[in-house]
Amino acid sequence: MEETEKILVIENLKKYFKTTFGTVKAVDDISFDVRSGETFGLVGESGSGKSTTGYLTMGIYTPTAGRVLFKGQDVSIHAVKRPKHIKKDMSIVFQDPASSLNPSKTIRDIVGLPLKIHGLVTNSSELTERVAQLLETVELPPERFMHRRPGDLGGGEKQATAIARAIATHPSFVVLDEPTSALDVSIQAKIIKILIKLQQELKLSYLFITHDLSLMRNVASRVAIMYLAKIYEYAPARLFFHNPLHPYTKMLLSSVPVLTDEEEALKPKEVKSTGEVSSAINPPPGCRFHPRCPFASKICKAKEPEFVLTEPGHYVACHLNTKKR
Amino acid sequence: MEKIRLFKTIKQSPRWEYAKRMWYKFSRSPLSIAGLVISATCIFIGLFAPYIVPYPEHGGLFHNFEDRFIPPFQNSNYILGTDYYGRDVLTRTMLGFQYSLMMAVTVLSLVVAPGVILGLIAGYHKGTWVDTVIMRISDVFIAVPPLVLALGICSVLEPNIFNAMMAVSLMWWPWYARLTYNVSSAIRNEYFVQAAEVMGASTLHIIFKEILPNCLGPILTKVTLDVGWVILIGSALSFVGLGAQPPTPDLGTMVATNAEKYMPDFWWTSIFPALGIVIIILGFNLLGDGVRDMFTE
Repeated sequence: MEETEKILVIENLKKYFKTTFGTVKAVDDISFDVRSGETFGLVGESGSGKSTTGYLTMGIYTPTAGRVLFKGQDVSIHAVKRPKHIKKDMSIVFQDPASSLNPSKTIRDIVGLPLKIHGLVTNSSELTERVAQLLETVELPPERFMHRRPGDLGGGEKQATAIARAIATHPSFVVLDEPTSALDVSIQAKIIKILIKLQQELKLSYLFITHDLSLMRNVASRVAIMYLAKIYEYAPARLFFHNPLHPYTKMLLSSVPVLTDEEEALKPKEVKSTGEVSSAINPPPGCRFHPRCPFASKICKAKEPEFVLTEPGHYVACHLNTKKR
Repeated sequence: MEKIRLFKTIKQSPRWEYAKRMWYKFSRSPLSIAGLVISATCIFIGLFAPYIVPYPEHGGLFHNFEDRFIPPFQNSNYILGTDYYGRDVLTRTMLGFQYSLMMAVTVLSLVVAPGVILGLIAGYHKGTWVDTVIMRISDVFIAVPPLVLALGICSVLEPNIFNAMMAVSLMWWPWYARLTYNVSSAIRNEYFVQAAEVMGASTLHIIFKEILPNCLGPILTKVTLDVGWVILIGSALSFVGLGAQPPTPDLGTMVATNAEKYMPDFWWTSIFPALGIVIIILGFNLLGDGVRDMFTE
């Protein structure tokens, strides 16, 4: 793989939060890369650190250790300190569309803000024109939405507005932090379609954060699975869904509700979903998944598993797979 | 180009709609309307008192001992009666509105801007030393009971209306700092602020364009309610003799001097100015409730 094709490289990234109860290890030594034009899916349960990873990428948090490389440039600093061209080139769509749009502003001002900041428009009518174009791209009729406020909009319309804002500066990389999880099922599909269309038109790379595995199957080209601040398996989407190796992956896949027999056949049978996620303040020693793992043995409690390459592009950190080899 | 013109023509209507919606929320309660009418009347009287009162010269050192202590509602020349010097109580009460409102406007215009700005800065920097310094200083001012601090300042310095206003201002700004701090530090964590930060918006833009507009509701509500409170404190200072001095037609001074000497025989000399205070405070409190309704869903 050529280095230039990797638009984002995450190297041994760590983020610890100090709280009154102890240090929460939100992200603990993870590494992955996002290639140009692909959708990299990051999945995991609530509290696994996937959103924190997204925020670290965007510079909303500064990493405790490790590096974030964007187009080969080290950007492991807070967003405020990042160079302007970096801020123009990457953007984020948040999970909660209600909170991600300023309720006191009109849609025109919200979508127009990045254009103003980066000097992409020179006057007011140009701004209106450009915002109208952007709203059309996300399938919002400009004449209806231009001068409305977020409070007048539905959830899907708000999220479409947030997407319009995110692509306003023509970035090459967008973090999608559970962009559909707060929306009605009927609207989710529409938003996903818009995102896929935009990716093709604008050659975007996505870091797609979600807990929705069936959604991942449809949009991601590669998938990484996080459990308690660590990545345990990552693979091209096809291999990930057809040949899951880590017991946690199998457990999650077996808990996805399915409609067709075809999908049912894909489900791993041997693992049932059990137990609760352990504490992030005091994670279990060894493999963090062992308290919930049906195959856990002594070594799982004692030693952290290392990543092994099982087939092209497919990495897994599990003692079961290490032993086999 | 045609498209742009279309947007411009419809641009005004959502604003108008927004204003209409605000008015709808405000006008749902008849008490808010009453508050609006009362406070508008008070402001009108305050602004134009010298031109509409029957005897403008009665505001100062005027005396006409022939007409002194005329009871109210008996002489059509002096509807609310006259005081010891034969001055019209109605005239003096109306002129008192002017002083009271002037005091409220002066104090609030001195207090709101610095309080809000300091609160915004502390709220934006929540959790850092900037926050600690600003909020602890404001705590020091809040810790002193307001009337006591004002009393202290006015008794050390010369007791006049200017010093009274300075004293009230000094103890009033921390409340705005604290209110704005509470609202803005919550808004600071909203995603839209983070979105603006990630996009590269300046700190000034974030504080004044993203955070401030969302704090306006509580701030405006407090300003309206505080008009009444400042007037009350100012009247209290005058009442104990540390605010405006006679013969200034200040409502608090009038209540104090006349109550001391002429109650209960010549009750109207202090009851009507006292009613004036009640009306102003009632009006602005009702208005404040209406403003609060306007900004809540």
